[in-house]
This record gives sequence, C-alpha cells and structure tokens, in this order.
Amino acid sequence: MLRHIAGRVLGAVPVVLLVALGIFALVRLAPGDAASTLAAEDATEADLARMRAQWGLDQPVLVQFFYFLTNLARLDFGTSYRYHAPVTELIGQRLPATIELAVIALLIAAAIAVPLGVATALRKGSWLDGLGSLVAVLGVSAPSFWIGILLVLFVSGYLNLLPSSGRIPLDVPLREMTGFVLIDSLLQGQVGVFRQGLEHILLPATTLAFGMIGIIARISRSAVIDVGQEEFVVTAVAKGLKRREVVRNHLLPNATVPIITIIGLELGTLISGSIVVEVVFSWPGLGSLLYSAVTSRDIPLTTGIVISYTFIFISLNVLVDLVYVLIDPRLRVGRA
Amino acid sequence: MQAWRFLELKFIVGVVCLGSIIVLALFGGLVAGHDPNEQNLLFALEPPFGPEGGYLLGTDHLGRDLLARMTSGARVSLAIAGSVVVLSGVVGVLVGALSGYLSGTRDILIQKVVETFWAFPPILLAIAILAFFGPSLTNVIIALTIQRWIPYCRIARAQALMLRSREYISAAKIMGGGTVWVLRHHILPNLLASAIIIGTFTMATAILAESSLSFLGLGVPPSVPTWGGMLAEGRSYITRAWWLAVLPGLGIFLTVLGLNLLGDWMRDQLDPKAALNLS
Repeated sequence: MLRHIAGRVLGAVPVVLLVALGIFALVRLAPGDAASTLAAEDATEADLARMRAQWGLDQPVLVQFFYFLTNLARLDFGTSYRYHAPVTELIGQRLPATIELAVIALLIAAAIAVPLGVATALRKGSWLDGLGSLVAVLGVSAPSFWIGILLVLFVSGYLNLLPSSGRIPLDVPLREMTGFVLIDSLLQGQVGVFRQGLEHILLPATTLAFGMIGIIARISRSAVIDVGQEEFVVTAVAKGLKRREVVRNHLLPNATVPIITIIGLELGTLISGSIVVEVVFSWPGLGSLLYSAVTSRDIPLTTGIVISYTFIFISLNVLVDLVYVLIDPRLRVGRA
Repeated sequence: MQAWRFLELKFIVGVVCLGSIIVLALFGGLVAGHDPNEQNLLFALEPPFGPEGGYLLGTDHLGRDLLARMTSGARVSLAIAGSVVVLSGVVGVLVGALSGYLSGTRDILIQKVVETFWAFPPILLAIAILAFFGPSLTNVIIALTIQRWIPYCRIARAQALMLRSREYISAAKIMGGGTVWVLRHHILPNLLASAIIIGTFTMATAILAESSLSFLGLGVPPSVPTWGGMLAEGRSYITRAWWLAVLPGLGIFLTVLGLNLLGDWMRDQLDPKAALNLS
C-alpha cells in the first residue's frame, strides 16, 4: 500500500522535471528576452548587457535551467512587471477564489449529473435515456464563455436576479481569514455576506458546471451499466432481492469508484477551464490574473501562473489515483 | 429498431448543423453584400432583419455587417480547425504507429514525451505558447496542435502494438520489408478508420479552443473577424443588442454540435454493438 503510494508519487517526478524543462524552453525560445522587454526606451547595449549579467541571462543555458529549477523549488517566480509585487504572493491571493469557484461548480455538476447518469442507466433505452444523451452532447458542444454571456444577458440583464461580476460587492467589509468568501463569512457569523457570496458565485459556477454535466452523466451511466452486468448483481437478483435493494446495496456502492475518479479528473480540467469563465464574470481568481498578465505582457507573472496551474493539475491527477486505490479494496490487496 | 432510428437522427441533425455552417462559410459573403470590416456608424446596433440598410443579421456597435462577420468567423474557425486536425493526425498517427511498432526502449522514451505534453491542463499550454510567441495564424495552429496529436498517437500505438505480432506482418518482415515499408503498407491503412473518428472529435475541440483563444484576444489578429472575438467585442452591448451575444455563439455551437453528432454516428457505424449498448 505505502509502496504503491510512494511509487505513484515518485513516478510523477520525471514528468514534473520534463514539464519544467518545457516551460523553461518556452520562456527561453520566446522572441525578446526579459532585459529588452523591461529596459527603458533609451537603454544602451551596455545597459542591456548589465541587466542580462544581473539576472544570469548571459550564463550558459544549462546553468540558467539550474537557476530556474532552484527558484522553482523555492517557489520564487520573481516580481511581476505590472503589479510590482512577488508573483508567488499575487498567485496566493488569487488562488482561493479559483478553488472556491471550481469546488462549487463541481458540486453543482455532480448533484445534477450523477443522479441523471444513474437514472438513465437504470432505464436504459427509455425516453429519459435519450434525454440524458441529448443533454450530454449539448453540454460538451456549447462554449462555456457563450453560456456565461447568455446567462449574464438573461439572468442578470433581463431578469435582474443575480449579480454578473465579482465575488462580493466592493463595499462589503469581510476580514480575510482563509481567503474563501463562503468560509470566512460563516466563520465571522456574517450570514448576509455569505448569502451575497453565494449569489455572486452561482452564475459563474453554473457556467463552469454546464460542460461537465454531460461528461459526468455519461461516465456514471456506463459505470452503473458495467456493474449491472457483474455476476454478484445477477446473484442478488436470483436470490429474490427487490430491485430497489439490489440497486442500493449492490449496484451503487460498486459504481462509486469510477464515478469518483472521473469527478476527480474533471477537477483539474475545471481549474483550467475556469480561465475563460473567470474573464466573463470578472471573477478575481487565477484565471483573470493570467488574462491580465498575458495582455500586459507580464512574463514573470505569466510563467508563474502557467507553472502553478500545471503543477496543481499534475498533483490532482496523482491524488485521484491514490484515492482510487484507497476506495477500491481490490486494488489495495493486489498491490500489497 | 429504436436504436437504429436514434442513429439516423444523429446523422441527419449532424449534417444539418455542420452543413448550414459550411454553406455560411461558402456563400454568406455573397448574400451579405458588405465587407466584414466596413463601418457604418449610422446603422450601428441594427437588429437582424431590421428595416434599414439591408443588414440581414443586423450590425454591431460600429455598424459592421454581422452576416459578413459571421461568414468570416466560419471560414477562420473551419480553416484553423481543419489544419489542426490534419497536422495533429499526421504527427500523432506516425509517432504512435512507430512507437508501437518499434516497442521496447524507444517506445518507452516516446511515451514519456507524450506523457509530458499530456501533463499540461488543456488550453493552458496553448495560452502559454501564444502569450510568449505572440498571436498569429501559424502560432494559433501550432498552439492547438501541440496537445491534439496525443489521442491519435495513443490509439495508433495500441493498434500497432496489437498488429505487430500478426502473422502477415511477420511475413512481410521475413520477406525483407523494412520498418517504413511495413508501416506504410500494413500498419497505417489499418489505422485510418479510427483516425477519421478521432479527427472528427478533435475538430470539435479545436473549434472550441480556437474560439476561446479568440475570445481572450490570443487568436488571429483582430482585423480578421472571428466568432470568439465577436463575442468578446460585443460583450458590453449585449443588453441593448442580444444578437451580438447570441449569433456568434450559435455559430460555434452548431459547428461543434454537428461534429460531435457525426463523430458519434461514425463510431456507432464501426461498432454496432456499442451503439446498441449505448455505452
């Protein structure tokens, strides 16, 4: 068991190194280096050379890669050109908003998709099943930013039901503790702020959830169908158990493993998928920070955010793998 | 019988969706009668089928013809996604077939590279490439191809691994066929069907990604109208002009829906059992 966990974590190390090399190569190969981007308009060649020497840009590539890796290990991504603050600090400020959005979106998607998938599997071939696959294909075909804009137009614009941008109104006093609005407001007993936070997160989270509902429903459906063909289900039916009992005690518990896996893998997709959604709803997370970094050609900030997203993505994938082993006893025995 | 009807329905709806976009791309410009970048502020924010100026789908905030701009968007999306599909298909199938056919250490090395590309969250790598190298048509195509060859590669590798132990492949090798010859005559033809199906789905995701990039201002230069760019520009005017929010998105949606339905249909055709199980 422990060996399996260690193996999985260590197995990710070469990929992490290759990914770091890839990002380093991207930054290095890009036209114009940091010195020529940052230098004043009237900088001379000598000024540029001095700046390059200062940042080690005149060193051999391998040495530069070594610096890059050591900075990475210390989580030091330099200083943002635009915000004049350490990149790590900026990312830390924005990360909770992105995580909060992703988690709520995932909850919405799972709450709709898992029951839908299970129901369509139990009534395979019915009109409900047809409706399920229709929802699935529509969900993956609509671009999230379009859904977001339409929701803003109808729900915020025409019906004036929910706010269309930000996390909470700017004039609301909320002391930052964890960085998560929904948690901080509850910890401080501010129910009104909690409600406002929920109202603000509802539209972006629904937008983000939209594309995932189809995928999660499809996987849940085929997971339940697969388990339904197993011999222990046939035995349970043959024993004379009621259909409801078979479903509740034999079918669903065994279908949870693949369902949880796909939900976990979707969490990573969600975090990167949220970039566009954050821009649509002016959500102050990592995605809109990346957008402003890219548009203002802020290279250290862009690099830092790309690295953070990628490493979160890789860690989530490893974590899901480990959870998979934890909840599936067959894998546990097999690997011990 | 019911499953058969459902299949036919997928095909018909898919063809209608995609067909209407192809017709728009080919003939939309003829109907529009205006240049996509021609501004006429007198007719700004004119609704679709409006009485003035003869703008069939209305105008945007600068009085530019929406039909002409939609046509340009269709052309850009189809051309970029088409290039991405072909390019990633060629790279992915070749690398995958070679990796599976060679097997051993070289296979493991190639798969490590594949794993690295796959370790980046979708769209993020494309954003990073365009952020560092600047947006242009070529860079958009490269940025979208860089992860999309992997599904082809995986399938091609798996099939090549399976095929390489077949007797007719061994026979070809014994008769003196080199790696390239065997790949070209015995492995690649067997991979064509799955490559076409993956290609259809790849085109769908490429169109979604291209429009997201254009929406973020990282697509082709703004002088070329794109669906994503139109949505980004029209965002501030949507409460006064719903068509600016609805129409470009509808273009993306219909194209992607058509491709997804046709891909589903083709997959079911190849594997009728899967179609009946609907799994």
